[in-house]
Amino acid sequence: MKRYGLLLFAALVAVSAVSCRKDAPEIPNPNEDVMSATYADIFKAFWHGMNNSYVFWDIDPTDWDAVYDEYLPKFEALDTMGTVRTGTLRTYYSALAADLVDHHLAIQILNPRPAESDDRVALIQPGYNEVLKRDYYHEPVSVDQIRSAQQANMQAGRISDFEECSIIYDAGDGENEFYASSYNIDNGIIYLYFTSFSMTEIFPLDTEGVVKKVFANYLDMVVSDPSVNGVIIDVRGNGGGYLADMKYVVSPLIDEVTTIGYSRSKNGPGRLDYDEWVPCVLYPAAQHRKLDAPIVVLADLWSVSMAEMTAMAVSALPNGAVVGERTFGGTGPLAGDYNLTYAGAFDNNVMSVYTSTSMLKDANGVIHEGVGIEPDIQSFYDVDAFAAGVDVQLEAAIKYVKGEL
Amino acid sequence: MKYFYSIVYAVRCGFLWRALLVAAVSLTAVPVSAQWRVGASMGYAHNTLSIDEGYAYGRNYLSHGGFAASVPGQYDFCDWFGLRAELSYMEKGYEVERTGEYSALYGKVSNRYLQLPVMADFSFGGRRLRGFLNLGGYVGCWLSSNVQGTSLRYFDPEGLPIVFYRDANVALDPRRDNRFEAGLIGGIGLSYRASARVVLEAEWRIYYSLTDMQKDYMYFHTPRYNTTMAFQIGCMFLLGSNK
Repeated sequence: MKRYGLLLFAALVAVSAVSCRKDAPEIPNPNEDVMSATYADIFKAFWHGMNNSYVFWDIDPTDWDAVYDEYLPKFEALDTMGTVRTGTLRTYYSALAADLVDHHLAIQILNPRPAESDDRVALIQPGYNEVLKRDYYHEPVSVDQIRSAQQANMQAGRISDFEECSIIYDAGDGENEFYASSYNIDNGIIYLYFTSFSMTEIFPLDTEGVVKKVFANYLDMVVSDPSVNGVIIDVRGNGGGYLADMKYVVSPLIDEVTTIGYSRSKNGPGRLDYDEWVPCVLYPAAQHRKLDAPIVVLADLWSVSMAEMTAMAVSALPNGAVVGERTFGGTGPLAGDYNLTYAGAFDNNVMSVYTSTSMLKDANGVIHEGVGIEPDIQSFYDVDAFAAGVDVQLEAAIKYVKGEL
Repeated sequence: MKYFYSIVYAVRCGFLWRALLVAAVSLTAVPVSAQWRVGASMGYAHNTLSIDEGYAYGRNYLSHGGFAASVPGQYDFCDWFGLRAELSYMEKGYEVERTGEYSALYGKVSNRYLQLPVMADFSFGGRRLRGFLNLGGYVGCWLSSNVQGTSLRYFDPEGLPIVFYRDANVALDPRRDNRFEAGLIGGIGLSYRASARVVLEAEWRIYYSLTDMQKDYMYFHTPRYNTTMAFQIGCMFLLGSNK
């Protein structure tokens, strides 16, 4: 009898203990519509979306749990009011997202009960707000400024093999402007400037070949010019674009597979659920030439995303350097597909959250998100010099190539 | 029998620990025909990760096999009851697969544990061939982790993220990973007394973890638990005076 007693006892202990596992919480899909559009429900949808989909929790200083505790009562209080100013929403969301490091982050929140004549959507860009506070903040370099300095240098006889293009194109998302130029300056320094990494979508539309001509000129000089003393890739004011465009810019400069950094993606709903770091590699272009001469990325405050990745890629080369200003700090890639990793940008009927799909660090293991890339040679934007036709930052890059800095 | 009613009463009242204490006291009252046995066993562990995929409908978690080995020691109070403790190594893995257009992404995770199971061993049958039932609990330590599979890789010349194969030991994150594991064990098996001092065993066992693999480090945290079925064969050596 004792034997059965012990068996029964063990079975009872087992049955009572089996129920000790915790149940999983209900996690809303951030891409599904929010049915009850109260301020509290919209906040909860946003909070959960970020909680599970934001890729920088590993390095982000924001206490996201504290945000929930602090702001949910505030948004519940808004639900007791008749109308709510969109500015109030903007203030709340700007404050709660102020320290989020993702500098791609752009939050658009619908105001379900705006005051009359008020905007219906509050736009919050924490990264942009941070950049505004930098002591070297300036407006983006304009194409006109770039071209006026080019004209001055041409008149001074410093430029040869000049090609440029200026187009307006529509790849399905409305009209976009694009400008690019490439030339040889000071007898042997190859220069390339372009306003965005849009070649992947422009080249198929470029039936007359005006854009391709600029990049073909750059490639031809890099590969064939016997007197190359250096290369300057100017990404000032460049807001980024297609990762694949690296093959038109940096790939012609390498002759072997080159690790330019590492990426890491989410693999679960937890804030710290990550895959391992994966090397990002560049393959040499079909036409390429390994140069021993200096290769410089000229970057500034408004060099974002792919422009910064280009700076990281060139910094990984033994003869690479960055000249200019500390960059914007939005280095995480965006894959454009939430279901790829169940992370990154999401949207529904009351919000749109534009945020990176993965984390990125450079070849030395440094994560530049939210901070930007510090230049090897610092040179600041000088609006007055531009007015006089002098591009101070370009001259600094040229001096670096010539070994004068 | 009075012990049994005491135990049932204690469990009913929710006093699990009191029940365990009463059970322990009751064991001391078992007539002793004591004998020690020690041995070794090894086998296959088939682990299933219990996790709620939530809205990640295209991400599935599958069972994964691994290696298991243990060094058991057992004290037999009588011919049908003993207490067994083991030092065991076990690989508790799982696989992650993506469906549809993302099926090139997958992972095979192998987590290595060192465990200390303690079980009550009930046996029945003849002198040579006996069946047995093990019931108990275990504590364990998550030693390390290895991942084979593919990840996203950027900067493909064609522009789309591609997959990158990896096979690497993965560092545990002390902010996230809970190295401590504890749970229940149930097992059934057959033993064959091959000689006066040698007993061969084959056992099918289930390890049911009650501890989350991750710390509760965030609001709305999704827990994940290991459930491991192990099939092991082993050999036990009877010590002391032979009965």
